[in-house]
Amino acid sequence: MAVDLDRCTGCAACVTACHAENNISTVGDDEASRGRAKHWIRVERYWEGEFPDVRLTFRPVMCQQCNNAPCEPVCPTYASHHTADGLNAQVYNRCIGTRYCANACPYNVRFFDFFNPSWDKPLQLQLNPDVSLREVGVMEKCTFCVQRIKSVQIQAKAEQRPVRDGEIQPACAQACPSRALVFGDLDDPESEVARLSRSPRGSMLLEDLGTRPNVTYLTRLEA
Amino acid sequence: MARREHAHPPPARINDDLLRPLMRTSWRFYLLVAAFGCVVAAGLTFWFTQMYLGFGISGIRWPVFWGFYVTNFVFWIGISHAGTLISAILRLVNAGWRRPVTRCAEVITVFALMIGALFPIIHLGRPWLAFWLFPYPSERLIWPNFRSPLVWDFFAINTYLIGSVLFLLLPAIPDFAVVRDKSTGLRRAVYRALALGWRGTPKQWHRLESAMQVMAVAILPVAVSVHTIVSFDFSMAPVPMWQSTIFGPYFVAGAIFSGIAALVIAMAVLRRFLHLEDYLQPVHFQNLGKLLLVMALLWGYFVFNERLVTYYGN
Amino acid sequence: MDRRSFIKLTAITTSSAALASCGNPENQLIRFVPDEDIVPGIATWKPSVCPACAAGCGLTVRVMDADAEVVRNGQAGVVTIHAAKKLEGLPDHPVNRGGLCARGQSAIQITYHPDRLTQPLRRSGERGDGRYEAISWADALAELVRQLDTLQAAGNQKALALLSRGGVSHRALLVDQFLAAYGAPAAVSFDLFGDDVLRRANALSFGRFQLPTFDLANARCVINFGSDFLGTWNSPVSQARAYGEMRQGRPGVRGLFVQVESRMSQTGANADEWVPVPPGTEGALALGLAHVIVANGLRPGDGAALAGYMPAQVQKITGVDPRRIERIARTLAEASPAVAMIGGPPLAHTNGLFSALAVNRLNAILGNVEQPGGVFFTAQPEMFNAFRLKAEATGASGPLAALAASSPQMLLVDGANPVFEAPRAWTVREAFEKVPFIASFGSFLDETSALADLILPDHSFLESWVDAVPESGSLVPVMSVAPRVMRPLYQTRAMPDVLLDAGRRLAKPVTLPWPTYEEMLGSVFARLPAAAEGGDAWSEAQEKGGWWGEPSTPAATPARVAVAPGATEWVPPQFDGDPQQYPLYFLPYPSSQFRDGSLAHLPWLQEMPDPLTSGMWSAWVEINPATAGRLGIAEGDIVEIASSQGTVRAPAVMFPGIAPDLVAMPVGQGHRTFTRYASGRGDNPVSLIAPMRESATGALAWAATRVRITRAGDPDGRLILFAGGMREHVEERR
Ligand SMILES: Nc1nc2c(c(=O)[nH]1)N[C@H]1C(S)=C(S)[C@@H](COP(=O)(O)OP(=O)(O)OC[C@H]3O[C@@H](n4cnc5c(=O)[nH]c(N)nc54)[C@H](O)[C@@H]3O)O[C@H]1N2
Ligand code: SF4
Ligand code: SF4
Ligand code: SF4
Ligand code: SF4
Ligand code: SF4
Repeated sequence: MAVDLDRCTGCAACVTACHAENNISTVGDDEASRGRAKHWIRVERYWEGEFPDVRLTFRPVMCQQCNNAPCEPVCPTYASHHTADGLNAQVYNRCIGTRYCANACPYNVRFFDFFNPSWDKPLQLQLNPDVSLREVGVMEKCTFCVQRIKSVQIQAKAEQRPVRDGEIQPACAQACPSRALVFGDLDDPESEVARLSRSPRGSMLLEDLGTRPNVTYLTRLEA
Repeated sequence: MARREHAHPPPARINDDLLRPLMRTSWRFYLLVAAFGCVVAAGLTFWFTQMYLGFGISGIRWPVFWGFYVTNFVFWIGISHAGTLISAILRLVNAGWRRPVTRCAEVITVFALMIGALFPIIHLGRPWLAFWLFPYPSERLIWPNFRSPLVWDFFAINTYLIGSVLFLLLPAIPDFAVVRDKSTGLRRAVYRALALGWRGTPKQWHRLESAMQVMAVAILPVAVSVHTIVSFDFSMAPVPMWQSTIFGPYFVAGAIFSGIAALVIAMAVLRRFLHLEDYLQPVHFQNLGKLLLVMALLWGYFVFNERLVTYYGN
Repeated sequence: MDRRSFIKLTAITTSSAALASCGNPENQLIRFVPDEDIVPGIATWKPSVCPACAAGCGLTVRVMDADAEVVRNGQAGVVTIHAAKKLEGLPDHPVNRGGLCARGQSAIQITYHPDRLTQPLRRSGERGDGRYEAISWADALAELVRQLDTLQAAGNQKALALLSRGGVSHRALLVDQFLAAYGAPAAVSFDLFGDDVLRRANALSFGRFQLPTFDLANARCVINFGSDFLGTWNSPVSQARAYGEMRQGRPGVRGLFVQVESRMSQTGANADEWVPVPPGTEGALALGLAHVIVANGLRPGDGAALAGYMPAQVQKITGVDPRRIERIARTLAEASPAVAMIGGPPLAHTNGLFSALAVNRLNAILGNVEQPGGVFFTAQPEMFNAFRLKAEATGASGPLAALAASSPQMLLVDGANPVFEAPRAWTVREAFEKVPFIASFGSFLDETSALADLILPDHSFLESWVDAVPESGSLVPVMSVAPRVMRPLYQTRAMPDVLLDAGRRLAKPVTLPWPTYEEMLGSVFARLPAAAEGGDAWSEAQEKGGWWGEPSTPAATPARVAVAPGATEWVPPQFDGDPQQYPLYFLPYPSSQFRDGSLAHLPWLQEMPDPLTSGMWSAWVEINPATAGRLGIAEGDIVEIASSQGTVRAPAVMFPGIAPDLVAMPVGQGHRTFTRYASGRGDNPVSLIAPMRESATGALAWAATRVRITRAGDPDGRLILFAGGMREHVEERR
C-alpha cells in the first residue's frame, strides 16, 4: 500500500470504513478512556511550532505488513504469521492472547480484545459475514482486508485471468475521499502502488528498525 | 557473645531436632496451611473471574500489556535462583558452611519455579488454550513456533524445574532413609519408596557424591540460561528500553540478588519457628550477607549501565 | 448469524420448546419463513442516498442475508432478511465518486440503532418526561387526522407549522406542496450551520441563490477563508476528492493552498500557508488581496472601490504583515487558475455578508467564475428554482425564531432538533412547550421529539425511497434517488406517505397529484432525458442511484452569471458581551464526528477520534496553551465557560492552532436525551451562543459571542483522548 500524505486530509473516513468492514466493535467511553479502543487504522497528528506559526501533519497508520515482522517470531502459536502473498496474517482462532506480539510491534497497531466484543441489538445486523468475529483474549489488527483480496483472487481465478491493478480495494482505500490510500501488488512493477513506492517522496515508518514494511508513505510537500 | 560456629550438637540430637516438625504437627501448622490456602483460593477466584468477565478487569492496557503478571513471573523465577544456583556454586567451591543452607535454598527453588511458571499461563487472554504453548504432537501436527521466546521459556523452565527437583531429591535420599528408619506405618512406606533402598554403604555415598557433583556442574548453565531466556522475552521485542544486550546478565544478577534475599528471609523464619538456632547460625547469615552485598553491587552497576545506554543514545 | 448467537438461539429455542407446555407462547423464538427469495452468502449491491448531510452523496449498499429478530402477529421470532451490511460511495456518482466520509459510513447505524423507535407512540406522561405508550398505526393516523381536522374546521390552517431538517429534495418539495394545499405556511427548516449568508451573497454577486461548487481539481492555487471544506462544510467528499487531484493528480503540477482562519480546522491543517486573522476580519483580507492584484495591474478591476484596502490598512484590521499580503496576492495572480473560497465561521459574524461579497469580488477579479479551476454553480432542475426562491424570500434562518414567537397550534417535526440546536435566547423549548399538539416523525427520542404528543416514526433511509438534489459538489446537474434497500425492520411508515394518507382522510380532503412519494418521484424522473437510446430515465435512475446529465441537459437552467459590484466599505464585526467582562471570542464549530450534533447517537462516530484533538466520546473546549497557562488551566482541567447567555463546563484541551484570544468548542455533544450513546455527555455549547444576527441578512451570527473562562476543577476523566492521549507522545519520542 502507498499512503500519499500530500493527499490525505486527516478526515478519518478510513477509520470508520475499517470499523464497518472488519466487524471491529466499539468499546465505549470507559474502555476508551483506558486506551483500549480498537482502531486498526488511526490518523496520527503531529503538531509543530506555536501560534501563529503552527503546522499540523496527519498520518494514517495501519499495520505496515512488515516483510520482516517483529510480531511474527515472538508468537508461540503461529497466530501471527506470514502468508505466501507477503501479508502478515492473524489467525484469531489460534491466538491464545500472550500479547507478546503487541509488545513487539513497533507501530502499535495490534489491538487486544479485553472483553468479548458485543453489539447492542440489532447493531449486529451490520456485521460483515466475510470477517470472523474475535472473542475475548485474542489479538486483532489490520489484515489489509484479506477477505477482499481473497474474493477478488477467487473471482480472477474463476475467470482465468490475472488480478487487475486496482481491482482490490481495501475498505479504507475505497472510502478515502481524496484517494490518499493506494493498494496493489508491489511485485508488479507496473502497478500504481509500485510506481508510487518508487517516488522520491517515499519513505517507510521506522525504516531503521529493519522491519521492511510494505507500506510506503509519500511525504507531504512544503510549498 | 559466645561464638559457637561449627559447634554442632551431637548427631542423635540433630536427628531429633530436625525430625521434630515431621513427626509432630502443631495446630500452628494447620493455621498456616489454612491461611495460605485462603490466599490460593482468593487467587483462583480472581483468575476465574478474570476468565469469566474478560481479561479487561485487569489493569492491563496499552502500552503495559504484561504488567503485574510479568513482574510476578520474573520475580518468582528470580527467587528460584536462590537455591540451586547458590547451593551448586557453594558445592563446587566446597564452601563448608553451606550445608545447613542448601536444603532450604533448593526447596525455595523448586517451589518458586512452580509458582513462577504459573504466571505465563495465568496472564493468557485464553488460558484454556495454554497447551498450545507446549510441543505435543497434535492431530494436525501443528507445533509451537520454536522461534518464540515464550516457547524457549517453556523449555528453559521445565529443564530447570526437572534439574532442580533432582538436585533437591538426590542429596535428600540419605535423609529420607533416616526418616524411614525412624517412622512407622504409612509414613514409613512413603519414605521407603523415596529412599530408593538407601543403606548408607560407602559405595552408595560415593555414587551420590559423584551424581551431585555432575548435577552441580549441569545445573549452573541451566540456571543462568533460564533467566537469560526470561530476559529475552523482553529484549527480543523492539520496545524502547527493552531492547538491550545487557538484559541477560542484568536479569541473572537481579535474580541471584533477590534469590539470596529470599533465602535469608526464609532461613530466618525457619530458624525462629522451628527452633533451629543451633543449625542456622549467625555465620551463615554473615556469609550470605556478603554474597548479597556482592550481588547488590553488581546489580547496581547494571542499573546504572542501563541508564548509560539511554544516555549515549539520547 | 455468528456461531455464538446461533448457539445462544439454539439454547433459547430448545429450552423454550421444553418449557412450551407450561410457559406462554410469546417466549418461544420461532423461525419464520422469509418473505423474500434469499440466496445465502451472496452479496448484492443496491444504490441509496446518504442521509447524513445535505451534500447528497450517492451510496452503494452491500446487502446480504442475516437473521433478524422480529415480532410478527405478536410472536417473537427469527427471520432471514436481506440486510444492509455496509455503505460505500457510489463510484459513478458525480458528487462523491466512490468516496464516503466517516459520517456517511456510520449512517448504517441509524437503521440498526438499538434505541430506534419501532412503532407509533402516544404520550402517556407529562410532556418531556419521555413516557409513551405504544399504539397502532390506525389509532396514530386517526389522531393526526383528528388534529388536522380540528384546525381545518376552525379555519386556522395557518397555525400548522412543520419543522424540517432542510436540504433540497423532492421529499421536501412534496411536504411543501402538502402544506400549501392544506393552507399552512411553508416548512421551516433550521440548520445551525446553514450557509444562507453565502447563498444571499451569491445571489447578489452572481445571480444564484445557491452554494458554489469549486473546480479545485484544476486550480493551481486555492485560498480558503474559514471553511472546513475538507471536513464538514458544504460537500466535503466532493471537495476532498478534488483537493487530492489538485495536490497530486496532475503530473508535475501541485496546487498551492492557503487557509485564512482564527482556529486551525482540519482543512487548515492541510494548508501550505496558514494565515490566522482575528474573527470577522476575513473580508478585509480578501479585499486587501484584491487591492494588490488590481493596483499592480495583475488583473483588471475596479481599483477605486478597493482604495481603502492598501496592505498597510488591512494590517490594522487583520494584523497580517503587508509584505505577506502582497506575496499571497501575487501568488494568486500568477498561479492561474486561482480560486477563493469562503464558508463557515467568517459568515457567522455580524458582517458575514460583507466577507462573502468580498471573496466573491476577489473571485471575479481573479476571473475564475465559471472558468476551469474556478467557481461554478451546479445546474439545478427547473422546478427547484421556485423552491429556492421561497427560501430566499423567507430570508435566512429567521423563520425558526419567528415560528417560536408565532405560537402555532400544531407542530409537525420532521427530523429537526431545534431544541438542541437553537440559541437559548430564542426560547424554542419554551415556545414548543406551549404548542397544544406536537407530532414527530422522528426515529429517535431527541430533545425535540421528546416534547411530542404523538410519534409516527419514519422509515430509515435504507427502508424507504430516498432522494436528494445536491445544490453543490458536482459540475453536472444531479438528482440522487433510490428505492428501498431492505424491508422495514419495524412498524414504521414513510413520512411523505403518512402525510398524503392523512390528507386523503381529512374531512375536507387534501390531495396532491400523486398518491405516494414513489409515484411523485416516478413522474418527475420519467420526464428527464434517458441516457440510453429508447431507455427510460426513471428505470435508469433507480438502477444507478440517480440521474445526472451534461451541463447542457435541458432540465438544467443555463448559467446566468453576472458579477454585481456590492459595497466594499469596511464593516467591523460586532460581538455580544462586554470585552472587559468576556475577554475571549467564542467559536462553536461543527464537530468532525457529529456535524451539528444530529449524528451524536452513532457509536462509530463517538469512537472515532477527532482529527485534531483525538477526543472521543467526549466534549471539550480548545484553548491556546499560552492563554491556558495564564489562567492556570492544564490539559483535562474542567473549565467553566460563561457568556451573557449562560455557562457550560467542559474539559480543556491544549490546542496549539488557536488564537490566544479565542476558545472553541465542537458542537454535537451535550444531548440531554438522544439515545444511550449520546445522552448526558458534557454540556451543549449552543447554549452559550448569543442571538446575534448577520446585519444584512438576519441570519444567526453563531460565532459572534464573547466568553470568559475560569478553571472550575481538576480533571474528572470525562475527556477521553485516543489511547489515553499517550500513544502519540510515545511515537513522537521515537
Ligand atoms: N431433514 C433431513 N436432514 C438431514 C438429512 C435428511 O435426510 N433429512 N440428511 C443428513 C445428511 S446424511 C447430510 S450429508 C446432511 C447434509 O447437509 P448439508 O451439509 O447442509 O448439505 P447441503 O444442504 O446439501 O449443502 C450445503 C451447502 O453447501 C453449498 N455448496 C455446494 N457446493 C459447494 C462448494 O463447492 N463449496 C462450498 N463452500 N459450498 C458448497 C451448497 O450451496 C449448500 O448451501 O444433512 C443431514 N440432515
Ligand atoms: S480517509 Fe484518506 S484522507 Fe481521510 S484520513 Fe484516511 S487516508 Fe487521510
Ligand atoms: S506493523 Fe506490527 S503488526 Fe504489522 S506486521 Fe509489522 S510488526 Fe506485525
Ligand atoms: S497474542 Fe496471540 S498473536 Fe500475539 S503473540 Fe500471543 S498468541 Fe501470538
Ligand atoms: S486495509 Fe482493511 S483492515 Fe487494514 S486498515 Fe484498511 S480497512 Fe482496515
Ligand atoms: S458528505 Fe458525508 S455525510 Fe454528507 S452526504 Fe456525503 S457521505 Fe454523507
